[in-house]
Amino acid sequence: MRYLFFALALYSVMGFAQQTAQNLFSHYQSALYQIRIIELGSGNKSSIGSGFQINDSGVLVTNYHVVSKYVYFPEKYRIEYLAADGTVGELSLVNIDVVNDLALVQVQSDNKSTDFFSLSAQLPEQGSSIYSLGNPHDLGMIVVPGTFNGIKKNSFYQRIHFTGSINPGMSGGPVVNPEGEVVGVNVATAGNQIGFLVPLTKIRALISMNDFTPISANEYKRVIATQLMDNQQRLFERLEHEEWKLNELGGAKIPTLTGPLLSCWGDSNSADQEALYLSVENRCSLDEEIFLHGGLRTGGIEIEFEWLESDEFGAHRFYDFFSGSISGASAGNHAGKNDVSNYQCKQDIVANNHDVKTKSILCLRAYKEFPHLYDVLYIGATLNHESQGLISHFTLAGVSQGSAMRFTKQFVGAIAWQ
Amino acid sequence: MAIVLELLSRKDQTLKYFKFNKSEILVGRDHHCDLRLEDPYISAEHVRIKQDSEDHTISFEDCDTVNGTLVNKQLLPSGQLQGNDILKLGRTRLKVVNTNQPVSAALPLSQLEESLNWLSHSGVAILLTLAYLVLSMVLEFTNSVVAYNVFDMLPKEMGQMALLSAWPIAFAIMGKVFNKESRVVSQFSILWLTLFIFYGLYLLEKLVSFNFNAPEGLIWVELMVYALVLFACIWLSLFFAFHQTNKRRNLVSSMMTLVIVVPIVSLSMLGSNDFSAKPAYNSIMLPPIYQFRPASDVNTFVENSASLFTELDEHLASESSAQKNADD
Repeated sequence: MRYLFFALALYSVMGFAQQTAQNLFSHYQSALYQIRIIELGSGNKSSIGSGFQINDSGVLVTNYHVVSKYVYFPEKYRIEYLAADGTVGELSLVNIDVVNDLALVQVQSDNKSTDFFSLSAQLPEQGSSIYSLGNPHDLGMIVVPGTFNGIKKNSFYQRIHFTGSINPGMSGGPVVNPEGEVVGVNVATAGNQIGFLVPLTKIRALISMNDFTPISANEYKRVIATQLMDNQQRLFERLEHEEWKLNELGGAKIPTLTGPLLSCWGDSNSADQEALYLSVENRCSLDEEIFLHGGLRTGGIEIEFEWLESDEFGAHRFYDFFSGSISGASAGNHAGKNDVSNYQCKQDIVANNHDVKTKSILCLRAYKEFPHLYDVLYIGATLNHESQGLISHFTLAGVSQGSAMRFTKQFVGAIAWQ
Repeated sequence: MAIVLELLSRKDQTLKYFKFNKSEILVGRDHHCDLRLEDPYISAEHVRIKQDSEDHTISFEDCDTVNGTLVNKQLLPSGQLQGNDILKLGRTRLKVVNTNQPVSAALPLSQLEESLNWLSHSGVAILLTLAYLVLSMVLEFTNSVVAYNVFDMLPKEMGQMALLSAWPIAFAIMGKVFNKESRVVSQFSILWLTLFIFYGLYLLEKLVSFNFNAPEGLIWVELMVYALVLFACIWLSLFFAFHQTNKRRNLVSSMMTLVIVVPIVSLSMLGSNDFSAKPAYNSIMLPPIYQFRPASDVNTFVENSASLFTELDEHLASESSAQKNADD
């Protein structure tokens, strides 16, 4: 009897969810679009995403990454929509927000749908049902019911944690509450029912920022540059104002952030019986990066420390091993030769106020299209001891000279001995 | 005056030297011939060679042989012979020596020969070989991060040394062929000495680049020094293997040095301007006893790095203006 009741209860919950989903779908179908990036040479779609209408003048919200090909190569692609009734038409790009992965596009035909989604006044409570809409793998518009799980922790680039599956092609689709009001935009998935959404406030900010006058195609890079510059400014101000404390790693003290801004992992080889040396690692990084195009990400931070010591090696053997351990450092973000220059490095032997003497190597590469933004790579290794030492390493992607220099000073200056 | 003939090998090397104090000689396979040659293609009496008693000119006369006589590849029944003419009888080649011509001047005996005598002592060579083995084992040891076992490493090191031995052995064989003396001991001594110098230079370079922050010009200085040492090594190897004039030896060693250095340099230059996600930096670390450079403070280091930013900006600006020009 009890089981029957449970089953009934389950059925009714599912029934409710199904009904809402059906209602939502039939009600808002005409405000949902598939967005296609058409390659001009072949005349066929080269990537797809979803989008939703937010006013009666045909403005749609989608992800920046859906239209990124067009933003980067406006002469090679155009943007097209496929409406629920099967009509196809041109879209023009109105505005972008690369940091929050949002873009506004506008329907170019006179025959605009008058249905549109309204934005919710606030985010729902944790655990509420929300519904993700989109067109996964070009299979047609679908509704995915799921759960709102709050704003993701450890994030500088805010994301809503959505428990429900988001698949490729759904990017840019809306996520609505049972009343049909938008609370977020599909953006990414971490697999197995873990999805991420751009939160409401970011959409609101982008919409309120402009009067829907489109930016011209030759301004796109300048707009991106400004957004990246402002973003790194905010990120490094926050990093500098966060509380840093010194944590022990082997015989050294390393600066670590107390807040949840970076997510950190540790590891060591102490379980390896045959190893002649001890290696203890601590790595922290910003979880998200900013997507600019298929081969270019920026806005990331990685901070890594490794303590090495050996009772067996002796100075010569240890320093040979140590040299090997600091060689081969590589960029933290993806970028191609059209995006950035090659790295150039400067090195010196540096002692900080805590008597920590390091061989310090600072390498930079510049962004070709975003003036005064750089990727920074630092690697340092201590020189004080015969057979133990600390490797300190960070990479910063898309930062200004000022931010890079302040951060480096703070970082190199903070390391201490126990 | 006399008739002088040289028996030549296929590669024009003198195999035998014959001098006849007669005005006429008979060459053939028969036992009564003045010069008897064991060649089945030579007739019993093959050719007569005469020297005129007055003007000392030499002439020859083929004795109606089956295969005839070739003078400088021409089949002739008889005729005059000049110095350096080559007679071919059957498969045998004889060179007529012009006794009127002076021989080339004697090469001056090199003082170097005496001062490098110690290299040819087998004791020295064995000592150097063992020392090199020890050195390479020590190198392998400092490079290892796992438990080190000498007997595990021995076969590998000795294999490498066997490979390196190709160099002195090649020179020794050439010396044996052209000079009838291999001097293999000296050749080995030179090889190990050169490798010692190379390793010494490598250590010195580590020390300099660590303490002077890997200056850019260093690589060229280094290259020059390595090329010089290589030149010296080749020069000495040639010195022991061949008797040749200094001029020729210098030329050959320079060519060989270039043949070795140019591909190495061009290979390392190849693609150095290609895009890479990895920065190129010098990662050499040395233990505290080798650290001579005083440390700078954090602020100075970071402020100095400001030049990197401006350099990159300038580099990009010049690149994009070059691009623009190319587009126009």
